[in-house]
Amino acid sequence: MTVTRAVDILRTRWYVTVPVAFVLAGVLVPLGYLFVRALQADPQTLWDLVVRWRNLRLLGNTIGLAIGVLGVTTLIAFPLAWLTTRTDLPGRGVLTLLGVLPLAVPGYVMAYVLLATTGTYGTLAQTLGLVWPRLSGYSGALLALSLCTYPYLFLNLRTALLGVDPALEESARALGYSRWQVFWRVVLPQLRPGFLAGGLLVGLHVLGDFGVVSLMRFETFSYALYLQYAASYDRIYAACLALMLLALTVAVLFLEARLLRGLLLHRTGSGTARRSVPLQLRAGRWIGYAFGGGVALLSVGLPVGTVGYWMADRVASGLPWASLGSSLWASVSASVPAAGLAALLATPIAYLGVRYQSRWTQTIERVAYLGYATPPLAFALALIVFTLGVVPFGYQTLGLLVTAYALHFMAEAIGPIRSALYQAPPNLEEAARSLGRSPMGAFASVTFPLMRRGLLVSVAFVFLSAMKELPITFLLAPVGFETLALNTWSYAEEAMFGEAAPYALTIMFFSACFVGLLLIREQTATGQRTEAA
Amino acid sequence: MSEPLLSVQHLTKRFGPDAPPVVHDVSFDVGGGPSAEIFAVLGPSGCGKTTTLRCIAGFEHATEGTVVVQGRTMAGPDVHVPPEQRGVGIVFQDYALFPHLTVLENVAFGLREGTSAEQTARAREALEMVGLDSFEERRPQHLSGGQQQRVALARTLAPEPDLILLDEPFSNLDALLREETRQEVRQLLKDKGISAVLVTHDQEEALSFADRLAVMRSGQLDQVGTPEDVYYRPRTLFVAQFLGRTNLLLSQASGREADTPLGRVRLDREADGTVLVSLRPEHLTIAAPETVDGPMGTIVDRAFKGHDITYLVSCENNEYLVHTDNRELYEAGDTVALQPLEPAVVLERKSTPADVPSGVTPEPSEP
Amino acid sequence: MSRFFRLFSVLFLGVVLLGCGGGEPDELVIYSGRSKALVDSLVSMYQEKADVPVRVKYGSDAQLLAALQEEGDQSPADVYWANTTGALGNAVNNDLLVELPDSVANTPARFVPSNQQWTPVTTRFRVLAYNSDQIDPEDLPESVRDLPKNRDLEGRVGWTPSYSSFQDFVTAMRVTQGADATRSWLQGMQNLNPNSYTSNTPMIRALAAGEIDVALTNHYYVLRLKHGGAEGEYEGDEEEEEEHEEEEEEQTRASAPVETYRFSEGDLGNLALVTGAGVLQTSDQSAAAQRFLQFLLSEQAQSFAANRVNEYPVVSGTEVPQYMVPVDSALGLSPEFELERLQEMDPTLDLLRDVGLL
Repeated sequence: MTVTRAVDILRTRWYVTVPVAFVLAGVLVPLGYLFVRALQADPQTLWDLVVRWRNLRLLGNTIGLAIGVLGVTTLIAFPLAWLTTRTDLPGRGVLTLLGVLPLAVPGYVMAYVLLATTGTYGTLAQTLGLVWPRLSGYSGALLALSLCTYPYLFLNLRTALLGVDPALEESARALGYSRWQVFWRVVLPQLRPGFLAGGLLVGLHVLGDFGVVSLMRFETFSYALYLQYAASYDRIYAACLALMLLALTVAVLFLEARLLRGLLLHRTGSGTARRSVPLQLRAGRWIGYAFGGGVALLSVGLPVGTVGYWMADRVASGLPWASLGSSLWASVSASVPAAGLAALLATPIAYLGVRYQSRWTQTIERVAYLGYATPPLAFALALIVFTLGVVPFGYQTLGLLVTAYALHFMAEAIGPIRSALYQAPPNLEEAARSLGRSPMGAFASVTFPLMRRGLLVSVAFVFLSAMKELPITFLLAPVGFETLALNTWSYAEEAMFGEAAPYALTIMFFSACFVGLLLIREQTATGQRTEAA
Repeated sequence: MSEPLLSVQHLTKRFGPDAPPVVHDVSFDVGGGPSAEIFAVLGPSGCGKTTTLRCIAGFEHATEGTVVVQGRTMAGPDVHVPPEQRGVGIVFQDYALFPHLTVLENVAFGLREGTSAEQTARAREALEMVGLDSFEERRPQHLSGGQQQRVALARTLAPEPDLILLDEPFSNLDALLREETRQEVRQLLKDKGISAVLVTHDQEEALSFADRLAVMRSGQLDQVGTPEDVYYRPRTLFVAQFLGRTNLLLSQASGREADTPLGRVRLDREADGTVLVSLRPEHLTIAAPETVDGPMGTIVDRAFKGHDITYLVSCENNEYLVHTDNRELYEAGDTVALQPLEPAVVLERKSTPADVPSGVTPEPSEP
Repeated sequence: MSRFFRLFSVLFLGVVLLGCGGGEPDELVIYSGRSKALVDSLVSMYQEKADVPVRVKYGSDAQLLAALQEEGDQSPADVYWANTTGALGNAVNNDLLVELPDSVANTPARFVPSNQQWTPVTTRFRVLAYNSDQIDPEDLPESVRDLPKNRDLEGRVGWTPSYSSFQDFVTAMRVTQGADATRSWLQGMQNLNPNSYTSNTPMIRALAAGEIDVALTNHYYVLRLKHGGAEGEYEGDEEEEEEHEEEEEEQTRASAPVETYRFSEGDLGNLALVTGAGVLQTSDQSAAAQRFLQFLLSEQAQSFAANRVNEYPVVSGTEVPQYMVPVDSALGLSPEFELERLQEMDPTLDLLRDVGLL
């Protein structure tokens, strides 16, 4: 029944239609490009390339890594989310911030750092005499990726935990279940949508990652794909591999949708004002600190410390202030608008999906996720072709880069906006309309302010990803436009870690400031809601 | 009779071209008289009453039929005036107060004319009207249910709409508060001269709150009339049952009289053949067996309510419910004579299943 | 309307406005497959000297080649500067480059392709890097072809099958020894269970970290590890040299001792390869582009390459630092090989795929 209403909305409201059309085009153009290129392949060579054992091994490696990372991130994110939402642990706010900060650490930096830390000549051995076998292969990729991606899961689980109605837990307790049983049987099932949303981002991140797996020498699909582009100058067979990777992603999206089916409908309309009574940790608090501290040390302290150490070497000969400043400006001037644009585009898509839930609107949402999964190199090449063909004056402009970032990272923005929309039940908008507001006016004055928290998280996610982005930046940035990430990578690639360090540190520091700012806003937002409760 | 304030004609609503209608050919007028009118749409949940309300408010597009407010067609063939231009206020079941705004800001939300000082002043007035002027800086989630309800009302009334729609506005209040609030709101609407359409599943609420009411079942209106009319002269079995408990009698009618299990009974209108008739418990009385010659029954149960007494009387394998004043005092097991006080109401045949047993109906079920 | 909403609109407008800024028409646009770390100083030197605005787009050889192909005749690029002969050959095959005038093509002392569509800029040599704590160079074979026979190296070898220099080396082997011999060499190497790296930097770090004991690489990676390589501005004064040496000591203490091994004279394992640059057909200022190529071949730029990047000059008369093997002896170790034949990449890639390396 909602299909017709969704179609109605699309027909009558340009401010929904235009972004949706834009997103669909932005995602489908690269897909079309890949098909066109793949069709240029010589069928026999294509067949030989696609049907071979190596691909099966790559598939196994990719899936194995994705499952492993999901497992490890769950082990990290779950206790951390619980500690920061359900206990009286002092310093929960700081712990929350530390749990988000790894998003500011580029994956390749994390990989370089882990490589430099372990091994006979690693920092661990140098400073503590602790010889840990040098990380590489599966274990290395697993650790580096887990440390970089667990915040996606952490934040989603946190929101989910805060959203569970304490009355449910209390009634279960009253029915004679222990705290542990209640957690297992009442709380856990309700965390599933949040877990799936976070898990999806983690999974897609692993599927698409190249930086970490190449440095850790673990062969996954995206790694093979990169080799096709890099080693053989071959756009055509790379396109075939990209399509295979996309097929894998579609399978993941499909699986997630299946697991999610019916779960979201159970979410209650408005957020509960009441929070559950926090568990008093007492002596257990030291275990909490040890865990939280350990995670923070590994995921934030280690990279910052190591990169700082690299930089210390260089401080004497002076820092390249001018270049740092201009690349910081470049990074920010591309990432901030991209984050805003992504949130702006994701809002109508999430809105359609939440308010007019149907197969159609869900498909639109899933399509938006495909942009995230399209290999960035292919994505960028497709945009080159498209831009030059359709809007040549837009080529080599910041606008194109911003658009590309926004389309590519929009999937990260959809989730938080979705959950935020659940906080604003539809009849609030109807009330506003019966009080004389236009549809847009009702959205702007009622739903938008209520979604603010979700929007902030969306903006943060996209901003942080855009700050670290490499392949799209390489190909689509205006000539001479050098971001922090680009500089970091350029120097690190030539083993000039001392030169790379200031840029890497700037990324991390600036991203951390940004996240900190957002978190402060989030705290005040929740504070207002719960103050007198 | 002047032009009605609200006229709904042949309203039909389907969700999807092949779906069965949720609202089917519904017609009624509100506020045709000299003073404001409160109209209630009563029906079990899922009967389409809220959809009807949403069509009037403009949140749903009517599939067929017209909605006319003060002579202006709001919905009709190729016409759909958006909700914000209808000048119709609505109070939702869960009040839909904006959690990010204070009480005063909520009430001022719909005021868009004049300076902001004037808007604030008018919002204060509206708050005073509902007696919440001391709460204006609070957030709605920090108010009790009854207070929230009154804020919602103030918010709806502040822009002075011609008509307000009330979607089960009292159902989230506890019983005691509900009755009190109901009376207050009714008084307020009457004082202000504002017409309203109330949607509810609570027959007591509809009967006591509305000037006129419509009973809705499966998307159609069974009967429209004054509360007394609908209560004492239900047209269908459904209406008879939904508005309270009643005694059903499967009878053989000829003219204005019928043979019923309780003997020969007068009818409210002429009928012939097998008919189902209804007698409200208060239209039946009992007397000592020796004083009257009527059908005899045995008291099965009684409930003393102070001002009156309800007896359950068994007679020829059927049970009947009788409300009497507290002067008729009997114990369970006593034999009594049953005696109708008023003519029985003939129920429309089309909605009378053949195998309805005679006797008292169960409590109207809460949805 | 909410303040937030307005903020968003402003942001969006900002994006649109920023998007309208295009590039200046008279600036020189270089697509550089060489990384910024190696190019930046040279470019600023040139900008200062020639007073021409230069903008560089960085990427890998292949990324930029793909971009150039997708851009077609709308490409804004003037110069393509690549790390490898393979990439340049590919550009030639795809008809992207123009023929250079003799004034440019005659400057380098060697390695200029007969089609004159690009010019070599620097030379590098394939070498075997080793950990001198673990390996006695006496035990290493005379020829790279015999490396697989060294069974005690099993699990201790590093290589970069996907890296262009390595692929150039395989192409050279295939051209000179034949496909079958090359296949069995690759398979023999695979029997040593080598560690595959995507690029040389992490491989050298792995060597320094003791993860592997020998690595097939290019000569300058070892030198950069030991001597610092390109850092800061080019000044070329003696003082800084000393500082580097201090640093070198500090760095070597934190890692395994890495040394360079060269195979016997004329062996493929010592193959010389070149980086190069060409002028693109899409360039609307080919004269300026040629001037830039000429600058790359100037004494100043060549000397910078030698001193900062530790690559060998292609013009005669440029000195290399003391710690580098002199140009002539390095060239003498390399086999005679016509670099243009490195353009035949496809059979090599098939071979690599065949043995499961790609």
